[in-house]
Amino acid sequence: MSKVKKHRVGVQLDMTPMVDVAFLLLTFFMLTTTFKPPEEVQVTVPDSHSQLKLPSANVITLSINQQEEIWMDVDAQVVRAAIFGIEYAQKAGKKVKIEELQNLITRARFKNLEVRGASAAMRVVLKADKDADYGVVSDVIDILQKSKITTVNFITNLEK
Amino acid sequence: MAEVGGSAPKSRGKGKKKKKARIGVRLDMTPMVDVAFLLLTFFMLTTAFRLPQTMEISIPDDSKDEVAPVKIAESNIMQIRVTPDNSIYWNQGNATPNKTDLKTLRGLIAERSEKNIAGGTGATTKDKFKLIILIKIDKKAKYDHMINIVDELDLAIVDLNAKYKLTEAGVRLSPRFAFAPFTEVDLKEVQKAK
Repeated sequence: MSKVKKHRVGVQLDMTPMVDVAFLLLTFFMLTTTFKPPEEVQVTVPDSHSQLKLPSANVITLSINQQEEIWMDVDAQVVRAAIFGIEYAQKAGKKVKIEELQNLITRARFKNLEVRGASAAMRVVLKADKDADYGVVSDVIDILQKSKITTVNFITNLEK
Repeated sequence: MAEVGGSAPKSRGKGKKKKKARIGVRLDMTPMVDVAFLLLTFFMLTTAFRLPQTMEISIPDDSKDEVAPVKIAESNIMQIRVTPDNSIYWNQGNATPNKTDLKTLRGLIAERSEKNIAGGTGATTKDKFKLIILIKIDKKAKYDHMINIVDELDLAIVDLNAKYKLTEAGVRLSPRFAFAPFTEVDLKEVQKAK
C-alpha cells in the first residue's frame, strides 16, 4: 500500500473579532486621553535634579501661578465633587482663597478616607510658578503645618 | 493590497443578455490591523507614562508642647539668606554674611560640610556631620530660590556621599535643613555684608 500523502491545508483565519476588539480598545483609549480636563492654571515649574515621581493617587494638588492665585485640586472625582460641589466634578480644580485652604484640605482628607478606605492617606503636592513670590508658598506651608501635614512634594522639571 | 478573487465571468448562452457575475472581494486586512495595534499600544503606553517629577521635603510638626527643643551649637548652623532683591548671602555661626550665588553654593555647602565633619566628634562620618542649614527667604523673593537652594543642598550631599564612599542606607549622610522666616534682624545682618 502506498503512503497516504498529507494534504496541505491553507489556513484562513477570520480576523474580524480581533480587529473589533482592537478598534474598541483603540477608540476607548483615544477618547479617555482626550477627555482629560485642560489645565486651568498656567504654571512654569522650577527645575531641580530630583528624580522622584509623583504618586498618581491620593493627591491634593495646590497650584500657585505667577499672579499668586491658589488653585486646589484632588485626584478623585468623588472627593472633588464633595468638597467643591458637583459642578466641579469634571473640572481641573477650583481657585481658592488662602483663608479657606485649611478647611478644604481637612475636608478633602476626610472625604478621601471615606471613599478609599482607612489606608488612603493624602499627600499634598505644591505646583508653584518659579516666578511666584516665596511669601505665598511659605503661607501655604504654614497652613499645611497647622493641618499636621509634614511631607510636601514640590513639582519640578528635571534639570539637565 | 486588495485581491480580487472569485469566479471569472462565465458566458452563458449565446446572444442572450449577459448577466453580470458577482465578484467576491477579499481584502487583506493585515496592514490595517498592524496600524490599529500600533496606535493601540501607543495610546496605552502614553496614558500611563505622564507622571511629573517632584521634590519631597519634610516640614516639622508645629505642636510646640510635646517636643522638647534641641540645642545646637551656633557654629554648627549655616544660614542661607535670600533678600527681597533675590541675592543670596551665607554665614556660619555668628560671622558676618557673605554674598554668594547659586553657582557657587553647592561647592560652598560641600566645603562647609567637610570642615564640619573634620572638626566633629563621633564614631562615624554621619555622627561627625552636625551642620544644619537654616534657609531664610524673604516673602518678596522668588519661590524659584527655595527649590534651587534645596536642590543644590541635595546635590552637595550626594557629592559628599560619593567622596566619603558612603553607599549603604544607614551610613549615608542626609541633608539637614530648616526654613525660618526672614525678619528685620536678618535684613540688618545682611546689610553688614556690604
